[in-house]
Amino acid sequence: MISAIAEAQAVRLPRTASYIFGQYKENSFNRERSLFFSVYISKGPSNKYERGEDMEDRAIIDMYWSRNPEAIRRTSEKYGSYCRTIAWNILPDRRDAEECVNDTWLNAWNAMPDDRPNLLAQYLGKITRNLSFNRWRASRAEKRGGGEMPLVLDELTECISPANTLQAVEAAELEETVNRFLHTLTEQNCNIFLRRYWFAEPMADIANRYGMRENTVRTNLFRSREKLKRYLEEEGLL
Amino acid sequence: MKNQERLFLAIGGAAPELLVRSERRRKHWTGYCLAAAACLALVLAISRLGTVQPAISDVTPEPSPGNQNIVSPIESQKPNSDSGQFFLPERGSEIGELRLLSYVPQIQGETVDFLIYVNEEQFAICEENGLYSIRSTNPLPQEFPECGLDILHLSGTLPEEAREEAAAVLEERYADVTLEELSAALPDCGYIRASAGTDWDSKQTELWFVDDGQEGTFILASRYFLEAEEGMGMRFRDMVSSFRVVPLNKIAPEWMRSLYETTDSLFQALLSNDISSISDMLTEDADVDAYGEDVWEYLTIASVDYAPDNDQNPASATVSVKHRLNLEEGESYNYLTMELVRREGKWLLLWSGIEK
Repeated sequence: MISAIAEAQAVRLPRTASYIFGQYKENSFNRERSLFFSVYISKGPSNKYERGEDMEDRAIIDMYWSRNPEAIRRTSEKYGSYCRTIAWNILPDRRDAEECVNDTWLNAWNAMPDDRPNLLAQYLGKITRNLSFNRWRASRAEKRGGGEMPLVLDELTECISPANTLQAVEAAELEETVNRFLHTLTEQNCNIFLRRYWFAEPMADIANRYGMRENTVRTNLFRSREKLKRYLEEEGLL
Repeated sequence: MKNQERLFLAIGGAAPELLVRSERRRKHWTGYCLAAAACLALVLAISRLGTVQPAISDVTPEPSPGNQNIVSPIESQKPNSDSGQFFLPERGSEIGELRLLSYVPQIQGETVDFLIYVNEEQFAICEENGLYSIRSTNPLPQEFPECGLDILHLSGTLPEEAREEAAAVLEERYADVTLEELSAALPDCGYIRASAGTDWDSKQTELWFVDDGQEGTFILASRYFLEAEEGMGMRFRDMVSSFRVVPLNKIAPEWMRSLYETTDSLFQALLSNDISSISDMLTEDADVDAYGEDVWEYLTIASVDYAPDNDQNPASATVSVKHRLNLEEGESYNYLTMELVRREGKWLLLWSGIEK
């Protein structure tokens, strides 16, 4: 019994006589492997992530193309939570976040047809992200700040040292450069970087997502920011 | 638009498949690997340091009746398998006196240990019949409830089972019992908090149930009174955060062991403002910065995290030491970040600084 732990005294609990060595379970950290820092992928997400889309997303996109208003309801039902999380990470005001999510559906309606995204979730997420960021900038002008954005932007400032300025390049070129940089990172480092600087996710949430310590996430981001800075310098953008 | 905002927007153009990939939740085993490195480093440190002074000397708590098993590092090199005596190998700073100890108690006959950071200037640790007790070296007067952190290992009992039993018992004895932790000190482990009330001296207990990876459980139990929550309670949480399970049958590569040993010396020197003692661990162009004064006696270490640039043969690594100065109650953490490079098999400090 663990009753003694409740007492404010030294505890004497019986040890089991036999020590169970047993078979190591699957995914045990003692399993032999060639790389010490291999990341073990969980059985994890459904095949739709690997395929890039599923049948339902295709049907939803078809509804947009055929101007069926049901498309918005289905989108909201399926991706409302996903987009809301992105908006909440950026905007401290929940009402503003909710408005951005609603505006996402309107933007999607206006963009499709013409657009036919391969990955609907990420397509919608990007719309939400941009809307939320613009709303955040506007609210900052009105002195209504907070949330993760000030921290995220402070951290990104380190990628641009005071002695340098980001060259006045086209947004598309900068985007392409950053994308190439992301492909130079390991999978884990890229994931953590995106969770922080794409999704504006708090470090504690990132640590929870990947079963890491928050301190490790922080260190990892520090290194990635340093690499990004060097990359931008090498590309002549700083 | 500011540059960082432009950068934030540019990151928004990341390839969708990269975003999809980031959604997957994963386990990262670095902590276990490096805890294993610590174990190996510990064994090597003991064999090398023949004249290490016992860490628990003037600050040893009053021995309780019965078995008392505080032994010096020298004695600890003589395992006594016949009597089943437990022993405490210790490893600490190589700079002057032992000031910080990474305890890796070795329980004979078992293949799992733990590692925890305990600041020897503030706390002492002793072991009795398998229970490891951490107590303040400046205990409060007797009229105050006792405060302490205890660690116990239960083999053959899974964490959830242990937690359920403990919760049932605590609910009978405490006014308020909760299983939710506001901010996890340890990831992926069971938790219980029990409170005896809201008076300033009401007893508070926090328990963490850690899977030892071998179908057993480490139980960490901190006890304090309500008024001490942001003082002693926080210090115990910091120590709990540094807790690691150490599998003894794991062999770490040379570079990992060397990284651990080097950074252990480095951060202690930096936080003690004793840079001259680590001059041979700096690169020629090292940019070294910390607090500029000796803050060692105040701080608690919550965790030390390592990020080498690759798994096989790293050329550089970033190490982050999460710590708290404990100058005020409820103080937030600071991070000593160090950038190291590896040259001819030796790790050297390139850069260090304090981050909030």
